[in-house]
Amino acid sequence: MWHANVIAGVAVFLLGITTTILAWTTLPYTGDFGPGPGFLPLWLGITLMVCAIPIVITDLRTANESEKLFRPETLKCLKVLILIVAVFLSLPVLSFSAGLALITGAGMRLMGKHRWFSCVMTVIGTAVCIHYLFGQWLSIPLPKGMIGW
Amino acid sequence: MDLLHNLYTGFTIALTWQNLLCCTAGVFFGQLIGILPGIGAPTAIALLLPLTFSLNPTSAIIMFAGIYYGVAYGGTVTSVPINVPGESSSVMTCIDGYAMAQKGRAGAALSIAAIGSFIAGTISIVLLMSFAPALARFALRFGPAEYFGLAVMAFGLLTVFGSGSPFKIIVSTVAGVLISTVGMDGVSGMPRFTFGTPELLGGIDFIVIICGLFGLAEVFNSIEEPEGGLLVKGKFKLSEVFLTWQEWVESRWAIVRGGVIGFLIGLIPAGGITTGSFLAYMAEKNASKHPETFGKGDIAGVAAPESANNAASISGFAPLLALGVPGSATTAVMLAGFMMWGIRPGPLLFTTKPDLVWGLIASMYVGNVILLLINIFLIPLFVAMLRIPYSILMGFIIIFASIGAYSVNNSMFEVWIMVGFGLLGYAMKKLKYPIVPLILAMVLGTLVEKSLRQALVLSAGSFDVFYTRPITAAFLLIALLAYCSPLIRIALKKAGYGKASINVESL
Repeated sequence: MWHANVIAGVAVFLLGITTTILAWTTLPYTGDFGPGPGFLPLWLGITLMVCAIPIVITDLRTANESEKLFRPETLKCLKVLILIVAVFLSLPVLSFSAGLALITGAGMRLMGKHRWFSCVMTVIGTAVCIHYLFGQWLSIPLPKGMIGW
Repeated sequence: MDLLHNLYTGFTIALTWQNLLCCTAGVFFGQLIGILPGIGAPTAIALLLPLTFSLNPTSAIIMFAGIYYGVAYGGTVTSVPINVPGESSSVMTCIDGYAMAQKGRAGAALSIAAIGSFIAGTISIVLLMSFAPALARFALRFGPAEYFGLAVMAFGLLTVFGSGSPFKIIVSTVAGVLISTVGMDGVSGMPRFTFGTPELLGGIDFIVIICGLFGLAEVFNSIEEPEGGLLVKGKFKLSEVFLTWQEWVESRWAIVRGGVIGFLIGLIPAGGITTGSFLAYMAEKNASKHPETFGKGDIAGVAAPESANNAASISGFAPLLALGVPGSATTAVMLAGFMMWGIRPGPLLFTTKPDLVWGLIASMYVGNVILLLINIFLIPLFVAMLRIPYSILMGFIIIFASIGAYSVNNSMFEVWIMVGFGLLGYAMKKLKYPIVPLILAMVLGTLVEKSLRQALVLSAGSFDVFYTRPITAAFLLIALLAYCSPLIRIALKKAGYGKASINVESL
């Protein structure tokens, strides 16, 4: 997994450079009475850069090829992420209550191989609970979809 | 007398039906969450924040405190019968707790954990009552330079108590402070790192980040690395949970020692309850006449860490209430909760909001009694809860995280930010970058910057202020030693000292 760690270390270094450049170029280092808004971000950026170097060097030295970054379970994570993103994108149509309830049902099918009937009942029950608990009782203005709630 | 009067006032607040209900709900949910895999105390509090919108601040804080120490109790329930710590603070309990379960004494192990937690928790509350107001009075002397030093010391101590690469801990800390700088600068009003996005002008809300880092990220991590474990086929009947006289005699002093160690560790910013339980276990093993029985089902090996983790979870409120500086991820989330209701913890809280502070402290007594009863009489029920599949839990965590993020500004922008932080948290865990420093730094980031700038303004730009003021200098010296601690450890190891090392997985 060392290459992932090295990439992460390089990403930290790049974040440090970006922060330093942005702080230096867009934010004043000093203000009227002392340090300006760019003072802390500049030093934070420099610290990130400095700390990234030993991280990358250590990871290059302690290469452990047996540790895998991607495992079969990682695919399951990806499926759940796609499900979440797809549901969030379709919330204007589905409504918040129904959309989030759908995640529960779909998650049960994806992760646990539950029966369709159990999944459908869970989706309906969860949607009703979200609507009444958060939408009605706690008065959170949840986005409505085509079904009207 | 003042102390007793304040405590009496606290009890009149804590024992109102609404606060009693909130306390019961909090400890019950906390216990439940401690048992369920993949949900920790900070996640629980962050996810349950929207549920408290209709409550008054005192009731909500009482409920959150109940969740916090309820989780410390609940983590044991999985440690004993299935050898999986529900919380990192219960890691040490697994060693002797599981061995006791294999010998058919699972009920006794769970029972001593509950009794030990109750006694140590009570010791800790009594000490907290005396210590926190004194700490608050002392903190009244603090100016911006002292607060800057205190926050930097807390960051430094993370490298002492954390495990893994100290550079990764520093990166996490710096990234946390960096995230706190996003939005309008508090002094000049200039937007920073907003990239023209108006939603970012107010900064990134802490609740949104917590919902992502602890809620969504934990879902991904739990999918990838499920917390397995085989349930010991033991008896979890009510009749099995009572201790023998011999077991009580063997564990009573372990409870007291664990309680005192836990209390002291909880006071240290970034000390954490996991470190407390680890140190209490090591101390008990050293103090025991039969250290060879540790790891083979010694009841003192369950009593000491369990007492310590509960005592530490309570004493962790001292720096939060008296200084406004959280010592752990959970108290950091609680600080966000305080701020959500417009309350800023700190030295003045004891005089401006005595009802809240003393109501909270009194509720801890009440919560401990409720937890003791719950743990003795409902253990069979909680063990049965272990059979809930994660495929069902996962959906509910996502729902609570999404609604928690959405309800901050009633906007989908926050929900997408939450997803982003969920992925960041997942990647950080996978690449062994600790999350706790990030969380603490995000909360303390504003304080660090504000106090640094105020201190420099007051000193007309001179850095002398950081080493000529004794309290600031002491804090910064501790911070410096803490940052050098990895080098000190290496030097001690080479010299043949320091065989035992603190390894706190939670960090």
